Amino acid sequence: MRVTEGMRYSQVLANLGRITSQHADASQQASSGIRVGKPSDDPIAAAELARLRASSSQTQTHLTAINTVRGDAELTESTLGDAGDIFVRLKEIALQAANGNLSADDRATMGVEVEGLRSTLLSLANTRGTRGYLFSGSQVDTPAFDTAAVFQGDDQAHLVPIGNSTPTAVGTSGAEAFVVAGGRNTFADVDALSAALASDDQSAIRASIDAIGASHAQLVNARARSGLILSKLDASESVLTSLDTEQQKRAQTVGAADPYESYTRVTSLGQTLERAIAVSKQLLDIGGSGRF
Amino acid sequence: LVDVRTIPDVKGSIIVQVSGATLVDGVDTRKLSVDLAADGSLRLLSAREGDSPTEVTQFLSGGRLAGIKEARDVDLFDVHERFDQLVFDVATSVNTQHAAGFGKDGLSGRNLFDVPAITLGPARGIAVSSQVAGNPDAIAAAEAAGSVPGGTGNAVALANLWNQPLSGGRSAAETYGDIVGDIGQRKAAVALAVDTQNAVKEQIQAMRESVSGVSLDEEMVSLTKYQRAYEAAGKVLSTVDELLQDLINRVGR
Repeated sequence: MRVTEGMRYSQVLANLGRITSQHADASQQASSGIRVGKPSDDPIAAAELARLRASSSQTQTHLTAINTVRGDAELTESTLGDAGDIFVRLKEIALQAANGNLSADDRATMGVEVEGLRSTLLSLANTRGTRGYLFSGSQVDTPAFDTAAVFQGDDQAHLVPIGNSTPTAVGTSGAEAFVVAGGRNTFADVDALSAALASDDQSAIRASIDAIGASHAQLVNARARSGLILSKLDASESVLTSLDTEQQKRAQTVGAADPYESYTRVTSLGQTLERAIAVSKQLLDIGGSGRF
Repeated sequence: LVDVRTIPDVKGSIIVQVSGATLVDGVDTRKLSVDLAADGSLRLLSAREGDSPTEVTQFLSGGRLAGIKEARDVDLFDVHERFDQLVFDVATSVNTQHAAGFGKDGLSGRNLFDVPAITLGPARGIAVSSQVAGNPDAIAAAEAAGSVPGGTGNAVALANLWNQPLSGGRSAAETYGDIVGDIGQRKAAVALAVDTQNAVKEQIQAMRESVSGVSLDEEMVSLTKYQRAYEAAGKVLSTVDELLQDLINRVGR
């Protein structure tokens, strides 16, 4: 085949154009750090990136959910701790009141303190969190207990998705802490002590010591369960944070340009381009002095 | 823009054809125009001044316009169709779950999205349901009427839809990834086809050039060859001339 001047020009220009284009692409990758800027750069990688972004978004949603409910979970735990402390004091009062040397007036005075503690207990049981009343179950707009300490909520858990497994029940209902079916009605136990003190009934006071102790144990158990929920939130957050890091690392591996490789490629193509320009000048030597 | 063909006729004038339709024949001329068919696809029309146009889309076989039509009515249409299906499936599954739950106002059976039928472009027309828009109490987070207002069972069920299979057997995230991959694959395939066609075009141009073009190297070789031949011929002539001169001199003695 005859190699004409036109072909020589076309070939040289096409080669220079190709190398320039490759150099520009490599420079773009090196400066942006992105290897897959658009789907056509690497369709399979682009598809995987889209899925990774969706997974990462889901992970972030779970992390946000955990951070949102953590405040209420911590408030629940501390509130149950405070309620437990009230029963520690109630048990002290009951033990003191069981002492036969005290007068009826002394016991009446103690009864006043018990009434105050009952009022505090009721306030604690009606504590409000970010969603509403903490211990009302799903009835978050209704106080968990009315003034007569009758439970007005339900035992439905606040379900929160914090991972790909079964959603976690966050929060503690009043029916699991203060008035447990088959367990103790803590308010009734306080009322019994209060009544015994008011009536100076020492046998009733002695009987209420065990009841107060059982109520205390019930609140301690509820607090422990609340603590376990917090631990679960922490563990899930840790797993999700690791997962998010792994997803971002994977996305980097799939879609980001390796800095060292990019730099090497840019440098190499730059040198190739310089050599190609030098060779092209020789090939297209207009005067022909180099050729003839 | 389009494939143009010129045909000389018996009178020496040129007939100009575009996409199989005669555009210029003597003084007879037609105008080309583009519009959209009832199904939204691009149509190429040809018409004399004042006449109703004739569709010539089926003859469109090359040029940028054919490329635009291919991209618009085939590739983008396919991708758009898949995206519409994805949006429709997601909206439908969310609506079904949402309707099963109860809002803070205690009511159920409401959709979260208003989504047009699949043929009417759900991706473009999807919107928050008019029953829910501006009414946060209508968001059905609770799974039962008795769980209102704090129940979250249905909200959890809605959140779990993200990895549930849709009509195609893949989840929404997977389907979206498939669509992105498909777009990239189509673009990469077209880019490869362009490279191939460019290579074919360059080869044909090279073949034409090799017949019609001039190689300076070849011309220089020929020039040198003819120069040598000319010099050799001159040498022959001068030798013959010397011989004749010598012969004449000898005969003259």
